[in-house]
Amino acid sequence: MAKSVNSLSGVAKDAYLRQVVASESDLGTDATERLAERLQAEISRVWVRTSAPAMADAHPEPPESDAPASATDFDPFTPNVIVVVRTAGRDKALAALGQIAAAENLRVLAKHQQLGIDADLAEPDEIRAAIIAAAERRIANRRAAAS
Amino acid sequence: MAEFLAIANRKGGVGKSTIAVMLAHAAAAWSGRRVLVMDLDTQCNASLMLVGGEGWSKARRAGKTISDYFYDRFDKVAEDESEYVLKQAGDVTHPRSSKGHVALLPGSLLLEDVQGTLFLKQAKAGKDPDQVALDTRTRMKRLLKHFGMDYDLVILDCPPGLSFAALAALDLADKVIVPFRPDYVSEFALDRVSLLIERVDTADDLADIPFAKRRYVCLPNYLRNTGRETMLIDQMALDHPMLKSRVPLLDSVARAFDWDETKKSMEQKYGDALPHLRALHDEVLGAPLALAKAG
Repeated sequence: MAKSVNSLSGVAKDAYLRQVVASESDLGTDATERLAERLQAEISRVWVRTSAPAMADAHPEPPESDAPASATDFDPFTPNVIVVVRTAGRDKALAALGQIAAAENLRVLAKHQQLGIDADLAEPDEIRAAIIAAAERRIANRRAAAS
Repeated sequence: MAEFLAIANRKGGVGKSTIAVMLAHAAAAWSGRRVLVMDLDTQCNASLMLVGGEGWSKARRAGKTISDYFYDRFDKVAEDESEYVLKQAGDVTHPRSSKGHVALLPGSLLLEDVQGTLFLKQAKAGKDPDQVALDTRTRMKRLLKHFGMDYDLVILDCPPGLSFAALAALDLADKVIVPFRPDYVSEFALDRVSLLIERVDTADDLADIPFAKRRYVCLPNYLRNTGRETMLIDQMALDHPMLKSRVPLLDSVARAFDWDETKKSMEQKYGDALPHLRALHDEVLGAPLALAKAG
């Protein structure tokens, strides 16, 4: 069976997670409810193989109009760089970006998160550092504006 | 005494009036509240949504708008203010057994001019301008508060700018809902309006106030359910309390702007936006001052 991947967020994501949890018949009603609510609250987006049985009733989110077609299996909003820098620090953010190996994907992430980086950068390490620097500039700029 | 709920954001076009009217209809229809909407915005969109163009024009011609109220009553002792209120506003039916209804203190194109006039009138008496500004704001707050006796919920639809009336409304509000569109400009707008509502000067001062103690809560509005929006909401939620409710960009919400002489049910009025409105109603108005108490 050919497998493709769909991105789910919002209502579709919540419905999918609830469906998965509910399919575990060993869980009691309370546990099912608690687990579903917690997953729905803590997970902002899931990437699901369409061959998975649970996808049958889920509603896939239409592709982002501004996402490149070649990036269908890459989420340019994960990690949320600004959130990770602010909550866990730059080293953790760099480590999270380290999970993305391809320079092209790093550039796509920077573009989608509107973190301005030098277009001439070629090495993934340089791009990661530039992304973090751009995130820190954004945070500092916003902070200055609110003071 | 009524609960005072302000809908505010210094940024325009974020859906303040739409949210104010939706919540007013929902509070009257679903929780049987006697609701008064005060239209403090000179664009007067809430008035148009609640009584239509002709109804609003009639109120203006009769001198029964919010600017008339401020002008007429500014220097007087409190008297019956109900003559300025349109009591049968909105185009949604309510259960016969319910006391719930929506009333409107109509907006005015002249509200900013009237505020300037009232300020100058006092300034000519030789008082310090800062004191005059404070006095004007305080007096307006008192005038707005008078309406609280006759209603369960007063919704203050605030203008984008910082007029005396807007500041008075923010002072008066028990709770403030800040609708926003998740974009980069809105980050700055939330940062600024939150300082104003919490009466602090810096982001550090604001950060010292726990979310549960803040008077405001933010509402993501006009959502298209994209990854970028989710990312931005997550970023804003680091600094600002967020409602769990989300209001998507729906034609049914846009269509609800049109006032109709024939009253209809909430289902007919709001169509596929109804579940979102229900969630918002339950979260904001599920219990008296639920937000203010729970944060």
